[in-house]
Amino acid sequence: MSAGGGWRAVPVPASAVVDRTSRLLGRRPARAVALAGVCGVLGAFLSVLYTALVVTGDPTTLSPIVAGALVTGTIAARLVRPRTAAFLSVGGVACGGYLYVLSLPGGVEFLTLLAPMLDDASVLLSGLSILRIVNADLWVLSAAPVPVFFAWYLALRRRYVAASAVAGGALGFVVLTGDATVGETLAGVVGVTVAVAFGDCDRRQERLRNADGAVLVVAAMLVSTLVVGAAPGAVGTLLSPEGVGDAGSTVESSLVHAGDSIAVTGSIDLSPERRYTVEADERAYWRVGTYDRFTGDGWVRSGSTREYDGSLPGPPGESRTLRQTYTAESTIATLPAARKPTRIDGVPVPVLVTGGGSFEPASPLQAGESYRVESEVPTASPDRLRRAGTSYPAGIEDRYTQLPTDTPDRVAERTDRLTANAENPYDTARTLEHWLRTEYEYSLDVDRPRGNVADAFLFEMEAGYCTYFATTMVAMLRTQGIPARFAVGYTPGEQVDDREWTVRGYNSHAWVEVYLPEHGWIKFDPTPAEPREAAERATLDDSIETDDTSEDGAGGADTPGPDTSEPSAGTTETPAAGAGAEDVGIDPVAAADQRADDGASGVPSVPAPVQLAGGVALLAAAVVARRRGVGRRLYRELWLRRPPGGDPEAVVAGVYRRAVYLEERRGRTKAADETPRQFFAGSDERFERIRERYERARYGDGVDAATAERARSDLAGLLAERSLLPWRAEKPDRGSR
Amino acid sequence: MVGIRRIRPTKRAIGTAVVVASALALAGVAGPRSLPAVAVPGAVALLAGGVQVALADPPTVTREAPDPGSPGERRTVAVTVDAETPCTVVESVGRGVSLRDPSAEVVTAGVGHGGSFEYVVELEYRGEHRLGPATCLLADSLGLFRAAVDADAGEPTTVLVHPEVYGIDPEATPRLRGGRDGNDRSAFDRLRAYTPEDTIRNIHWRASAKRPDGEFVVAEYGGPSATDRVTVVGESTPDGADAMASAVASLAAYFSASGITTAVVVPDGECLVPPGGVDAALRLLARTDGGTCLDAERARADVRVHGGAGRRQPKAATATLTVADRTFGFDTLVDPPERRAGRAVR
Repeated sequence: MSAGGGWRAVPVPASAVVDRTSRLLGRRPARAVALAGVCGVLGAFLSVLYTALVVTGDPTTLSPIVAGALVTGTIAARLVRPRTAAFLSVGGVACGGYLYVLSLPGGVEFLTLLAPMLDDASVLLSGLSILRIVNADLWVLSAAPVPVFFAWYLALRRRYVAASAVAGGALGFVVLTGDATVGETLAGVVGVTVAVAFGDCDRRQERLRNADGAVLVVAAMLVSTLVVGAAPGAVGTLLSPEGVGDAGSTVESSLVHAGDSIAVTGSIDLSPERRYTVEADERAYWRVGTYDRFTGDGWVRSGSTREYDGSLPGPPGESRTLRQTYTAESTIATLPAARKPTRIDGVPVPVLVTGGGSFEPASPLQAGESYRVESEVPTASPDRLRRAGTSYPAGIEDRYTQLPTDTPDRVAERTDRLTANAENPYDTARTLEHWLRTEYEYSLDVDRPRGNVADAFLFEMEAGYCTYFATTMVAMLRTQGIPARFAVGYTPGEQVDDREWTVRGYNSHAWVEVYLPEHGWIKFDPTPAEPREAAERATLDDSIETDDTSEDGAGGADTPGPDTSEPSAGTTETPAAGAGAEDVGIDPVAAADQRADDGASGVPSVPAPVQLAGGVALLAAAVVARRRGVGRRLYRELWLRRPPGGDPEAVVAGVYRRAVYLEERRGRTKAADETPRQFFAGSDERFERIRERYERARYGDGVDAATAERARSDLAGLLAERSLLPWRAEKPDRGSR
Repeated sequence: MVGIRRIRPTKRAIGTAVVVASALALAGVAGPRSLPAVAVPGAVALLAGGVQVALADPPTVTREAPDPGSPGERRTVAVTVDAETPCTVVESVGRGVSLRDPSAEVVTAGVGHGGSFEYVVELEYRGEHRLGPATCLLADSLGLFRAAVDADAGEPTTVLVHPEVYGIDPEATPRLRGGRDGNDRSAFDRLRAYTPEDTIRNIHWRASAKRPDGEFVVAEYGGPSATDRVTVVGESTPDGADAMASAVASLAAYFSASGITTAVVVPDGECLVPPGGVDAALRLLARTDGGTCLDAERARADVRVHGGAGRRQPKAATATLTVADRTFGFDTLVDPPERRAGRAVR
C-alpha cells in the first residue's frame, strides 16, 4: 500500500515481520476466515437444533451426524461436481423426509400425509416452533445433515455465496419457526457476511487486511441490531400488529389467543374482565388446552390439530356426563370445556381438536355467542385410582414422560426422596401436590428464573404462581416415569346462580393432569388455594372501584364445600373457590416470542446488549485506526524514541535510520537510488554529522564509542526539537526543498 | 471530488433486499421472532454498501509506459491500481495500438483493493498512442452495489510507435548523392583537425604522420558529394505524413549506420542524427504531422522527402525523394526483398 512506500528505503523490523508473516500465510487467511464464516452460520443453525434436541431427545446423536456430513462434504468437494452434490442433497432431504414419515404414528401412506406435511410446513414458517412437531428429535436429526453437507461442500469449492445461501436458508427456517434466538440469528447473519466478504477476498486472492471494510460493516450490523434490541419494544411495536407480549402482560394477552406454546413469564397482572358465563350442573375446571412438551422454560403442544368430526372418545374409566353451556362475554378465541369433552355443538365457527383432546375455534368467538359441550367426568374413587397400575400405552408414556436432557439430576433426586413412601403413581402425585402446596408461597410478583423452571422453582425460589407449581409438579412426576401433562384453562369462577358461573380473566389457571391406566387423565392442582384469595380479592376490589363491569359483589354467592366432582381436588378446594381460586400466568402470545425474541421483549437473553455494542464499536474503532495506519505510526514513534543499542556501528546505523525517518516525516521520501549525501544536502548540520558518521561506520574505517554517543545526542537534540514543535509549524526553509 | 454516481445493485443486493423485505413482512404477519436480527443487519449492509460505493475515492491507475517500438511489435503494459474498495478495471487503449485479442476492445481485470495486472498490445501504426483511460467498476466490501467511475488518471500514459524503417539498397546510394561519387578524391579542399564525428576512412594518414603533435588530420574534398553530413527535409500532405516519416526514418537510419551525420528537418522540428544514434530522430518522426518546412530549411536540404498521394496508387500515400533536382519514389530505394535480412531495421 502506498502508506508503506515511504519506509521501504529504510527497512524496519516490524514491517519486515508483517511482510514475512503474510508471505508465510500466503492467501490462506482469507479462505480460513470465509470458511469460519460458513461454519458460523452452520453453527448457529445447529445450535438451534441442539437446543430442540435437548428438549425432545438425545442431543448426543447430533454431533456424529454433523461430523459425518462434514466429512462427506469434504470428500465430495474433491470428487464431485456441484450438480451431483445438489442431487445428493436433494436425495438426502428426500431420504430424511421418508424416515421421518415412517416414524409418524399410524405409519400412514406417504401421499395421504403429503398435504398435511405441506400444511405443517407453512404453519411452521409462520412461527410454529419445531418443538411442536410430533417426532421433533427425528425431524431435527433428519434436517441437520443436508445443509451441513451442501454448505460445507460449496464453501470448500470456494462457492462462498452459495454456501452462505444454503446455510443461511437453513437458519432462516428455524428463525421463522421462532426457535432461533436473537443471538443465534445474529451470529448466523454475521457468519453470512463474513463468508461472503472474505470469500470475495479469497477469490480475488487478496490479502486478509483488504477485507477490513467488511469488518466495519459487520461491526455496524452488530451495533445497530443490539441497539435496536436494547430499546425495549422498539422492534415489537414496529413489527407486530398486536405488540409483543411482555413479562408484565395481563390476562387479556394470555387468553384471548390460545397458543401452541407457553413461556413461563415473570410478574403478571390480573384482569377482572368477564370472559364466559357457564351454565352447568356442577362446578369444574373449564379446561382450554393441554401441553405435552416441556422445554425447560415453557411448554409446547406438539402435533397438529384436526377438524372436529362429531364426537370424541370418553375416558376409559367410570364417568358421569356433565353438560355445559358457555356464553362468551368478550371476543375470545378459546373453547373451554370440562374434562373430558366428548361432544361440542352450537359453535358458530369451525372447531378443531388438538392432540390433547381439547377444542380450538378456527376463529374467535364474539361476545354473546354460545356453545354447548358434553363432557365425561371421571368418577373413580381414590382407591381405584391407586390400583390403576403402571401399564401405560407406549404412545402415552413416550410423549408424556419427556424431560429436557439438561434437567438437573437433583430434581429427580429430590422427587425420589419425597415420594419414597408412595407406592403407586396416584399416591406419588398426591404427595407431590400436597408438598408443593405446603412448601411454597403463592406470589404473582416473581422474577422469571433462568434455565430450567422446575429446577429453579424447586431449589431457588420460595414463591410462584400456578404456572410454576404446575410446571414443577409435571417435571417431578416425569422424573418418576409417570405420564403427566400441563393443563390450562379456567377455575370454576364465581357462582352467580344455582347452576351458573361467571368466569373472569383472573380465573385463568394452570394445573396438572396425570395419566392413570384405565382411568385416563386425572386432574391435580398443586397451587396453594388459600394464599391466592388475598391477591384475587384485592384485584376484584380494585375493579369494583374502577370498573363497573363487575356488577357482582366481592363476597360472592359461592357455594362452600368440597368439590366433589374432582376426586383429587376434593380435599383441597377452598370455600372461597368461587371468586378467587384461580391465577394466571398463561401467556400463549408471548410464549412464541419469548424464547426467540427476548431482547425485544425486555427480558435480556442477549447479555447486556449495550455493553456488547460498546465492545463491538471499540473493535470497529480499532479497525479504522489500523486502516489509517495509526498502529504503525505509533510503533514508529516509539521506535524513534528508543535509543539504538549495540556496538558503535549499530548505534550509528540506528541513529541514521531514525534521522532518515525524521526527515521523511516532513513529507520527503528518500528515493531508493538517492545517496545519503543527496538526501541530507541542505538539512540541519546535525543531520549532516549523523550522515557523515554513518558513512564512516558503513564504508570507512569504523567509529568508536564516543562518536556513537555524539551521534546519539545529536539525534536526541533533533528529536526534542521536532517533538516539541508540530512539524508543520517549523520554518519552511529547514530541510525542505 | 466525487460527483453523483449511478449506483447499481448487484444480484446480491437484490437478494438481500428480498430477505429484508420478507423478514419485515413475516414479522408483521406472524410475530417478530428473531427476524429483526435478520432485517436490521440486512438493511445496515445495504446502507453501508451504498454509502461505501457512493463515497469511495476513484481508484488510482498508473501504468508503466512501455518502450517505444515499431509497428508490428508487441509491448506488455503493466498497470498498477490502488483502490479503497474492491474494483474491476476496464482498460481501453487508443487507436494505433490494438489488444492482442482482436475481439476485445477493452481489458477487464478484477484487482480487488488494488494490485497490478498486465496486458499485451500490438503496435499498429506510427504515432504517440494513449493507453487507458481506465474505467473502474467500484463495489462495496460485500459486493452489493456497483458504480462505474473514471479512474484517477494522473499523467496520461502513451506508447510511442516509430515510423516503419526500411533498409536501403546500398546500390541506390549514388542516387542519394545526386549522381556524384562522394569518394572522388581528386577535388581536395583542405586539411583540418580530426573530430570524433569523422570516419577513419577520411583520415589523411600521410599528413597526420607529418604532424609533430601526432594528432590526426582529416582531408576534406571539394564538392557536395564529399560531405559527411546530410540534411534530410521531410514534408507531406496531411495524409502523407506516415509515408514521409517512414522514408525519412529509413534514410536517417541508413546514413547513421553508414557513419554519416544526418540532420533531420520535419514540420514539427528538427534533430541531428549522429552515427549510431537514431533514437531521437525516431521519436521526432513518430510524432510529426504533415506540413511544410520553411524555405530556408528546404534550401539547405540535401535530400527532400515529400509524402503524399502517389501517382500510381492515388489512395495510398507514398514518399518521393528529390535529390539535386532528380525526383524518384522512395520505394525504388528500398532494399529488395530477397536481400532483406529483416524487414524493419532499427
